[in-house]
Amino acid sequence: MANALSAQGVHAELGGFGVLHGVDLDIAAGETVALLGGNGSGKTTLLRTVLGLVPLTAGSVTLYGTPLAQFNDWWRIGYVPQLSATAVTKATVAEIVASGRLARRRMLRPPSAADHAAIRRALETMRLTELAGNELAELSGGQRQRAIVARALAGEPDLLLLDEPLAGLDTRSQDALAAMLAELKLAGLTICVVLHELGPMADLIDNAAVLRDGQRIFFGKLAGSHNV
Amino acid sequence: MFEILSHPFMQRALIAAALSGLLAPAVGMYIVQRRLSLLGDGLGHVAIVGIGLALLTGAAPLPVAAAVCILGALTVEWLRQSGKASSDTGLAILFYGGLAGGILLAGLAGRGTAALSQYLFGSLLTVTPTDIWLLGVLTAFGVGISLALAPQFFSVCADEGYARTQGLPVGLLNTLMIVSAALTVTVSLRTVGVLLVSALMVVPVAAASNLLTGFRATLSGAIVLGLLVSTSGTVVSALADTPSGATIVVLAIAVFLLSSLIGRRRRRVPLSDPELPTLHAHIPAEPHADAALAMDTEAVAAVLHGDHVDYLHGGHRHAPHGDHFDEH
Ligand SMILES: Nc1ncnc2c1ncn2[C@@H]1O[C@H](COP(=O)(O)OP(=O)(O)OP(=O)(O)O)[C@@H](O)[C@H]1O
Ligand SMILES: [Mg+2]
Ligand SMILES: [Zn+2]
Ligand SMILES: [Zn+2]
Ligand SMILES: [Zn+2]
Repeated sequence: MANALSAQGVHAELGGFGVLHGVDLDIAAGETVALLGGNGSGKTTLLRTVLGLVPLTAGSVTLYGTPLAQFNDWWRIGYVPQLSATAVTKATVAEIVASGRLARRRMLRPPSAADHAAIRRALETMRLTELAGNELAELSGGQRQRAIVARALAGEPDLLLLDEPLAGLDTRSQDALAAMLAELKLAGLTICVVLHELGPMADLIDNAAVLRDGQRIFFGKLAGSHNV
Repeated sequence: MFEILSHPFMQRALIAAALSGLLAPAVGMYIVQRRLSLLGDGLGHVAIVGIGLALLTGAAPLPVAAAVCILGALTVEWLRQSGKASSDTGLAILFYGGLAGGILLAGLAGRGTAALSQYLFGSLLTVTPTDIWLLGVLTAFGVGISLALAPQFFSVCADEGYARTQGLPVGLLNTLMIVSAALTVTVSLRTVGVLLVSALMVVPVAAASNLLTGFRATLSGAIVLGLLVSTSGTVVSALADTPSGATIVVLAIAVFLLSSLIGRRRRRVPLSDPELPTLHAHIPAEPHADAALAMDTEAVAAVLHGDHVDYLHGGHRHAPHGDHFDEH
């Protein structure tokens, strides 16, 4: 079976500067890969490149065996962008979370019962049910982070790419997210997650890729983590 | 007051005002969210070329203005999507070119700026029965797609990149949005005029945003407010004999000021800064015969250490640092 995600020799530029210099990343279906590396090492750019948001200058990306340019099954893909890169619009938490369901909905059709149920579950998982009617601009940073994680969960994807989902989350929300991802992993979810600390996600990680200056300097199992 | 409404020209004026009052906020909601508030203004300038062209050829002004404005909108969107309008310069040239071109064409037609001014400031009482039909169709189209595609437009407004990863036709949606803005300008030529059309797109949205929570509620509220100020502004302008466009916009701004007073207080919470793990001191490892081995990642165990990976070597840890290893 084709890998959920396969990136070969990915080169990418931002503002005319090379940011990724030939990165390989293969993620088998059902696998969980942590993407690690210091600030500016290219983690966000790698995620954005495999999603087609940053153009490849060389190399190739396939999603479920289909080259990126031909890929159409976007309902299979969930994405949690890095919070600091997300603008705040006039919206309630419920509206933002519901927008994560659009890839599964037909245009001009009202949401189905399954859509409503998925949105409700996503809100519950991220402990947002109480805040559902609140405006995004009135939330704390961590609450907003929970909303964009819930948005991705609402789409019930097969491959979930998360860019620092734990950033700003309190321990309860971190644990709740890790537990949810563990449950979804058992059900077959493929995960690629950018992390600075493994935290409660440690047990989930099958392999880690470490980037430095736009190159992959490590790929494999982590024996653990330590903090000095 | 009701006697005034019995005049057919006044009835047409009210209908035309109601149509642009509906359409402008329905489209303006997205324009405001995308921080493109000046776009309506710019497209208004482009519409002036259409008016000039109509004066020169003797064609009906509204259809020509609509065509030119849509063409201008498509050009703007093409410039934006191809990244050529990264600076405002391209847009400024297009917009001021529109204004200058329109004045020039009107001059060539021997009509001067006086003939243009009714479109610059609106002149509701000149609305013809055929105009009403055209305005009705354009408004139905614009309001229709604004409401029918609201979830998709919302997603693009909230996060265009995310919307792309969900397979939404972002380019098409952006084009529809900007074409709707062009239609709004055309529909508003008679009501508020091209110089004030942006106000009708922006101000009711800002007022509704002060009063209501969430996107959908604000969109609906803005449409209701737009309808209210445009129709009541028309009546007031007829009674007080004031210019219709200016009356409508002043009324809209009054509603906005009122909404700021009664709007619920917003408390903005600063984004929390993701904390970096504590980094360790830089202590170069003593040279080991097998230090190079540590790069052979299959051979040694790796552990995560803050933002990088250390390699276990006996009882201690190494981290690659440039051309050597550090003791961690
Ligand atoms: N718009 C841009 N133009 C030029 N260079 C950019 C741009 N955006 C980012 N970069 C550079 O690209 C590199 C990779 O950035 P990226 O956001 O992928 O890093 P990251 O690994 O996600 O970092 P962080 O941990 O801080 O999120 C950085 O060195 C950054 O300076
Ligand atoms: Mg990043
Ligand atoms: Zn270390
Ligand atoms: Zn050693
Ligand atoms: Zn060193």
